Amino acid sequence: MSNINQDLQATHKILTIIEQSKSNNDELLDHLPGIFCIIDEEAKILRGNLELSNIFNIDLEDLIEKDFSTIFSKEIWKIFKGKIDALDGKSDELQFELEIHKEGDDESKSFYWYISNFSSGKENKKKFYSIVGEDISELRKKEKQLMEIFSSIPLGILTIGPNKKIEPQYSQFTEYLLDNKELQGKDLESTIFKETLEDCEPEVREGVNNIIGSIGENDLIFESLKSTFPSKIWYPIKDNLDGGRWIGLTYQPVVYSGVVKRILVICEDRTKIIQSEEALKDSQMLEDKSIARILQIKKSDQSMLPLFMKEIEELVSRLSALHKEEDSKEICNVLHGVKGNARVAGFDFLTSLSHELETYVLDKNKSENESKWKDIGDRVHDIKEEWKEINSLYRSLSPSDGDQADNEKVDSDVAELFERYSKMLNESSFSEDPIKTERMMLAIKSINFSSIDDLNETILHKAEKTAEKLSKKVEVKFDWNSIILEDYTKSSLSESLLHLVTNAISHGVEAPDKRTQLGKKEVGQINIKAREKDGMIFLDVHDDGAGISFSSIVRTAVKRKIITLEKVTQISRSELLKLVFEPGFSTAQELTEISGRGVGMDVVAERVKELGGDITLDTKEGKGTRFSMSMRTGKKTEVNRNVVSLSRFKNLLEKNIQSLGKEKSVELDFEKSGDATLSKGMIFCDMPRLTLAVTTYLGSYLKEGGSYKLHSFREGNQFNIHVQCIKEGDDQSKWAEFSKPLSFCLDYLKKHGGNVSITSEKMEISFGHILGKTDIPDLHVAFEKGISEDDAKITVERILSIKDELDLSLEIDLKPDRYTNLLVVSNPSESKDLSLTLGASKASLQKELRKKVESIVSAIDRF
Amino acid sequence: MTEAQIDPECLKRMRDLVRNVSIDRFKRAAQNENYILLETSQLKRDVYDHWMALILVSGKALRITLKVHFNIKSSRKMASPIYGINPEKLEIRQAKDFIKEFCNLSAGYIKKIFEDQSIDVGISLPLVIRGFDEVFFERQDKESIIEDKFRIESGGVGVLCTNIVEVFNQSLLNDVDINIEEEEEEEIDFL
Repeated sequence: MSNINQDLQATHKILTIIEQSKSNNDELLDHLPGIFCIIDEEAKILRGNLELSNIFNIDLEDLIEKDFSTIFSKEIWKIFKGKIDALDGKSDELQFELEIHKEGDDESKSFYWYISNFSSGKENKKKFYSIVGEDISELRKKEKQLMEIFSSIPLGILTIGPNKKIEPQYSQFTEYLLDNKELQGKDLESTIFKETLEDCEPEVREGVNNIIGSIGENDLIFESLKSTFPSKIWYPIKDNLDGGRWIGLTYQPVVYSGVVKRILVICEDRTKIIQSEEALKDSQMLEDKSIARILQIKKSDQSMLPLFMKEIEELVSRLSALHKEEDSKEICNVLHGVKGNARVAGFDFLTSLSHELETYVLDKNKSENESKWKDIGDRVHDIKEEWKEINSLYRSLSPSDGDQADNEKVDSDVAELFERYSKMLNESSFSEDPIKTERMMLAIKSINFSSIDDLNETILHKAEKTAEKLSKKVEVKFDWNSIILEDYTKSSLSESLLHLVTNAISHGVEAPDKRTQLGKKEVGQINIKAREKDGMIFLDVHDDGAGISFSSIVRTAVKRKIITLEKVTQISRSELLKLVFEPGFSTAQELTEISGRGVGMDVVAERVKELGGDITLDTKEGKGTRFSMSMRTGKKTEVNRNVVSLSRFKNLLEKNIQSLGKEKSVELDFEKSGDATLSKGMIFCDMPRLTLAVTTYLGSYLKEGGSYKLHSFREGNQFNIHVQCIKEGDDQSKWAEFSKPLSFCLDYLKKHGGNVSITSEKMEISFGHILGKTDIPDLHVAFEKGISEDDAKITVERILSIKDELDLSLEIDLKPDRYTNLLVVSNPSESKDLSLTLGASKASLQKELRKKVESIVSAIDRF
Repeated sequence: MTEAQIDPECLKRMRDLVRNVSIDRFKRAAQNENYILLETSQLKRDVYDHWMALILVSGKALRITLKVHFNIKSSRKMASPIYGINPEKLEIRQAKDFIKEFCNLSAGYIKKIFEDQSIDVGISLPLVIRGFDEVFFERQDKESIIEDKFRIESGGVGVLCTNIVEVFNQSLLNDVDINIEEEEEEEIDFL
């Protein structure tokens, strides 16, 4: 074969391959999904594909030269024509969505069209156009289905498109949620975030900008910015009951090739959720507060807590009345007391409320007008509510074993009251005003004795906190030898000490760097020392701080009109220092919760005075200050056992009852028929306490404004008082103290061989140990050792003078060792009443008598 | 020879040669004497039909481009007598082959005519491409080129031929006899 033939064969081969290849490409074009055609400027189809032929039911080969304009309706062709004309030789591709409707079809189909210029490469000016139509009818159908689903979902679903505007397709609920039917084509700033952006933090504005800015950016940028997008907004809506809605927002990017093309925004009505969350937060806050209160109650010194509770109760109960009276000074005093007690007890909320109100009342910038007192009234209410909460929790946390437990506790309270004031009871003043005494006893809050060391922790804790707040360094040292105090004293002392310590830290001890400059140790020293002697405790609180400047004392005292300038020159140094304890005095530059405002030192002084003590102050500028206090320890005193003539006892009792009746505005009619039975004999008892027990019981029965008949008489060894109610009265709450110790009183009466029975019409009290010659025959009088012969002689004469009255059969014997059945005489001074005590010698007593005597003695001793 | 020197009469004679050969060979290819040639020179389109078969005859003297525009439906009808089966049963390939063969026969005969008169020409393979590709054929307004357009049809079925004759050397063609001799019928061998 010649070369030419070989070349020809090769060429033919390649031509065959090219033909096949071109045929394949044409097949591909034929089978393109969607419509494909090329038309000329007269709308003649030059090339079409199978889809075009199928849709319009025209054979593929018959498409050639078919008029494209006749395939569609006139309207559709008009749109196409417009698009084609708009191309006008540009190299751009036009895209648009257009539905086409074939004749005979019920439905039209959605197509997305791409039209561009087509070049044949020839130089002639004839224009060709490439038309591609993507059948998106299924897509639109699915979209419609999805939209129907979306419309039923209570979510606002919308997309922000590449043009950064809201795209046409969004869920119907969105319009409801945003109360806006014209969202399409709008931007986020003028729709969803319109109100939010009006007055918002810079971060919120930045977040909104980031949403828009992330469109068109890399999806990693979107992810990094997503956390800044607002997730929750308040969307105001007119005519909405709540004024608007809380809308929760979530964002999803729609990414093509790593670029965010659009953002799907899902809006959810979270109004109810957020309202519930806030309500839950509120209730949690309340619960947290309740828990905090419980913890405060639990953490408080349990032995002193009842004391605090009672103190605060009394103080808080006075607030309303003081508010009505508009008594600023007294309100402040009361608040200061509440604050102090609350602080020591650890009731932080109450402490804050009291402090705030105290500050408010004292604020001289606020004039004392109606508005201020209304505010004060509101704050008083808040304090009372807070107290109510604390009280309620305290009661529920306290052991409640019925009234019995309460009564036992109260009874033991009263028993201790009796103990504590036994000395006072022995004084004659008691008989003059038993009611006052009684009330004073019942008002005593202390029930226990305990070591002063218990205060260490409280004081240290307070000092630590105070120093921390003021950025100071302080060391507190105690030197008080575990002195035992009764609780009331300890409580008052605690409050006073805390005040002195906080004062020392806030006013006295300097800041660490200043101390170093002054050559002092960086850590300030506060030493608390206590010594006990003769029933008194002597305390020192000494700091090594800056001391109190005399000039500032003078300046403040004159400024606050506590003293005139003229007077200052006339008083001594110690008198000058005492001015610090005057009400309203403070040299502090800044009044805070920590430092006082002049209310504190005067209250400290008053407390100390209440406890029968005194407080003084010494100071040296630059060196420090020393407060010295003294007060009673309140230790137990002896129990008394006396023999008293019956007539005297009866007279005293009647006198007490009369005083009681007068106090309670009760009409009393004393029947005299039993007086004769009470004219002779003696009664062996702890007279003051017995009298008090009887009077207390009577006090609970006699109601204010009522009318009663009383009949006292003796029956056997029993003293009886029968009270008949003629007209019932009506007690007010101020007589509540009578009701408290009743079971104790009853018990006491029973131990005296007595009893009480009460009905609405009458009350019968009886108590025993009336003794006469038949009870104690052959009673011999003996004297305590050390009595002089003359005194003994006088005493014997006195006893003999009342022998009939006492109904005694006795002999005087100056040699007691040899005798039994002794009547021991003590303190036979003429100026005092005879103090007669029944006793026994070392020799054996008659068995029965001995038993009787011992039982009486032990019963009384128990108290 | 330059364009200006090509005699229009020569171009017309060559055009007529192609015409005569086309109608003659078509009748042979279709085995149907009833096919007639219809004048369609006024027909102006960018695309004439769905398919286009083309073949080249080229030499020093001239180049002839034969383009036959057809559709499968018509081709089937025209080819069915050759295969002796119903047109619908003819494959597309067979329908295309029919036209291809027609092109081959036409080009082959033109070649024989020239070679018999000592004018060397070569012919290409016949190709079938889409009728749309006609838009890529550039119209050239040269005096050495003549375009012809006619239809061969019988009973409404037929093909459109658009041929282009370009004369390069008129002197070689001046004495060419363009008459066609009767030939014995031969078995048509389809490719």
